[in-house]
Amino acid sequence: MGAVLIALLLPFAGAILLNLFSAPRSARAGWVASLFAGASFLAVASAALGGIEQPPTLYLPWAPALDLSLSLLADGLSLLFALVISAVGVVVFTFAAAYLEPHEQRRRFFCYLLLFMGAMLGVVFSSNLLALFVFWELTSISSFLLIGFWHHKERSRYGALKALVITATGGLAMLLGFIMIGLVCGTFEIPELLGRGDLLAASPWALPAVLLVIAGAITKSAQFPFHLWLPTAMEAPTPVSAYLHAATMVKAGLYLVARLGPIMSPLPLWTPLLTVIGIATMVWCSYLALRQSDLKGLLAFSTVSQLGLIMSMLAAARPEAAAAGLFHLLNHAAFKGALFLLVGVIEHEAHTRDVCELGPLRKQMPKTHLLLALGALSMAGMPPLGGFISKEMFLEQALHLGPLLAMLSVAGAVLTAAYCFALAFGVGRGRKTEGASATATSGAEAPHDPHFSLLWGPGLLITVALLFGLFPQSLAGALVAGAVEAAVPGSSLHLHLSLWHGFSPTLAASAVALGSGYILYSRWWQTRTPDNPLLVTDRIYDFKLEKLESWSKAVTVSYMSGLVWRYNTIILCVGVAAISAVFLCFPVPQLQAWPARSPLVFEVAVALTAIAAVIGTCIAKTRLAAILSLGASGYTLALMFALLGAPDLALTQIMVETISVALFLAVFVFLPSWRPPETRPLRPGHLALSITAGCGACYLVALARGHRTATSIAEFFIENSAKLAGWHNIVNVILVDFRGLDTLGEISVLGIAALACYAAIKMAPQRS
Amino acid sequence: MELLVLAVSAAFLSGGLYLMLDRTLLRVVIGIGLLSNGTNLLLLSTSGLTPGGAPILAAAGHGETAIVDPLPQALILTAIVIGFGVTALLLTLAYRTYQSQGSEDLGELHGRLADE
Repeated sequence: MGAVLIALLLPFAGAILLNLFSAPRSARAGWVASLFAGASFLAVASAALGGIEQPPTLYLPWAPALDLSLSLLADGLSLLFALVISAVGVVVFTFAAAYLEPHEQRRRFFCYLLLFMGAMLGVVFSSNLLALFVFWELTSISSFLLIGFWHHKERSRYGALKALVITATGGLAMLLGFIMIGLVCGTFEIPELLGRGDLLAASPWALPAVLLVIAGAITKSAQFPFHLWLPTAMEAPTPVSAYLHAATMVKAGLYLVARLGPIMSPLPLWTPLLTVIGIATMVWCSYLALRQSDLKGLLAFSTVSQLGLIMSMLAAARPEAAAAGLFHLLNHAAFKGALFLLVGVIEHEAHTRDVCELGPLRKQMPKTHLLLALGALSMAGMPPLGGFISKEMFLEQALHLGPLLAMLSVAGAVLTAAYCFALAFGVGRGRKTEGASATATSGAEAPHDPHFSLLWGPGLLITVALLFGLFPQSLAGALVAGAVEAAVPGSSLHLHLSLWHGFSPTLAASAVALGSGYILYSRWWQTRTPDNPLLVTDRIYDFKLEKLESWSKAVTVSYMSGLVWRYNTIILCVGVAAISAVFLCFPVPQLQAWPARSPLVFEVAVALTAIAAVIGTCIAKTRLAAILSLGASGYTLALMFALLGAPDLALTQIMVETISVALFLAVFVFLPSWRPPETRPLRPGHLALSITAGCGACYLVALARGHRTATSIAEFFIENSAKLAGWHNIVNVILVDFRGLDTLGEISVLGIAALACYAAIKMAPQRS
Repeated sequence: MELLVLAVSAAFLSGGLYLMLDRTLLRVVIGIGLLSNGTNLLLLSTSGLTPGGAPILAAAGHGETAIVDPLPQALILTAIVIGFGVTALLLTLAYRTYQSQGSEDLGELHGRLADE
């Protein structure tokens, strides 16, 4: 377990160290980052070789009050994904170190890349759903940063935002689903959840939880109808596309499906919905891939399509299907990672990745082209490459899915074969016309095979893809079997991967797919120009984003008017409405009667005077009248304080009121008189609102008075005032003794206010 | 008596809020003053009104007086003083605003800021 923890922490440590000790454009940053990635890979590999410990978890509490823990889970499934992440990581890191131009901000790039690697390892090693979500979102954020790495390009920023909006929205939906699962089952720990699937199945939250988790998985893995973000994410530097958007991050959705399969697959909709989405994505996106002229666009759509294939296999939650999906996942990581890196090489050398502008690569870059062709053929499912075996396994399982889905699967395989042949053969021939080629080559030297540092990475991955075909059982058998055991617990699958399955319907289907694919490629692809069709979903996304911005602006502008009385109106309306709603929805407590005492005549007179003074202040036509009425109301209030047994308040009120009136009058001297248009008539709406709010507040206080829940602390002051502080006036004692520090604070406030007043008058620049 | 006190508080609060909804700066300041006075009275009403009482302990030889709850009074005393500080600062700002802008109409001031 220690090795797993080290593997998880190394990338984060690397990112921090790189940031602290490296220059922004340091050439060594890439190699240092590669070292960290390599060490992390070794740690994962040693964990994998050591076998799965029992129990395969390590519990580290993080925020126990939130049921959040950093507990780790290292079973077969985690280790398979972690091996892919760290192994492809090492290749991509070293490739990127040679690929990035010297003027690029390498430190930033490799920090993000290491951050991503750590987050991705966190996703697959987390045994707590909430921790998984945290790492999941961290991969979205690092993907955003990496897609937008060349942030001076408008398309990069657009692609980065699109990827973030879609994956983060899906992530939040997934979090909601996780919370439902966690609350229903009473735990967020995945191993404990496995035993409590029946709790979830019995609860009404099962269906929403299934839909929300699916939303998370298909947005992350760019499945239909969310496939739109992956092609625009291709604005990222090519190593990023190879790593995040082909080999690892987009597979987080697959990981989620495999990981939660044991819990979710008995629930309704999980398997059928994911299978249909997967197959639909596979067919539709392989068709779109065929129509791309941009090599990276072609690979992007092909990635989405292949992910759909794996998704449909993992969703079935049958051991054979899971084995097909997981083995194809391994193959895909190898050949697709390599293909992306090779397209990066081609772009690096030929300065274009448009099929229509590339020259005859077979002659110009023979080594690169050979690797490209091998990768594409593996994807097509050509023996003896690894892709052949997993494609066979896929077709065999697809035949179980019913006639319609089986036919769709074969159609998908045909389309896949067609674009793979286009990639393998079409690109190498060069579609560029002779005239254009002459002008292009006269300006710059013809593209040629790059230095070994750029070729060994993709070469290694292609070799792996080839070896997966030749020695599948010894290389991947144990790995896949271990992962299947975790994805479909209790299964007794005797997995035997081999190149030759004997003559079977599957072999026929494979042959049909390859043959028809070749015909489609030679008859259709070669004779027409790819047209990069606009996606309908893209248009919907753009429309929604634009409307979201304009609507939120309109809403904000509608209430952020900058006019104080409007703000006050809104605050009062919302307050009154909210409190009224509470009173309407909940039983209203009784207004407690208190010992009634009929007021004396002079008390009534004082009260009426006060009310009259307030009304006078409100309707005063001149400023002088308003100020004098305010003063009158204040002095009557002082009188009321005196009557109500509060002599200190009365004294203070009289002093403060006197100074206030003097201050108002002093300011009054400098202000203009209220001109007739400004003394507007009574505003009935405002009047009604303020009377409602004022009377409502009094009602609430009267109501609260009868429902005291705690005993008053007044007794303490009454008892101890003379005893401890030696004075009879309790209010004075509270202010200067028991709560003396508060009074000090109050005096400070007054001092600050006085300073502010002084500064406002004396130190402000005078109007010229 | 309590109802009377509540009615006076309600008058202060309503009047203060009504003035705060006005567009003349000085009226808004006056409104805040009324609002804080009304709140103080409302707070006092929670202490249980004992006529002729005071939060003062009987000194030896002065006879017994009813003791009222001293706690709200201590709070109100603080609030009165702070309320005065607020009023003074707002008045100064209103004065400065008029001095530099030549207007105390909030709508007009906002229009001017928006134009700049």
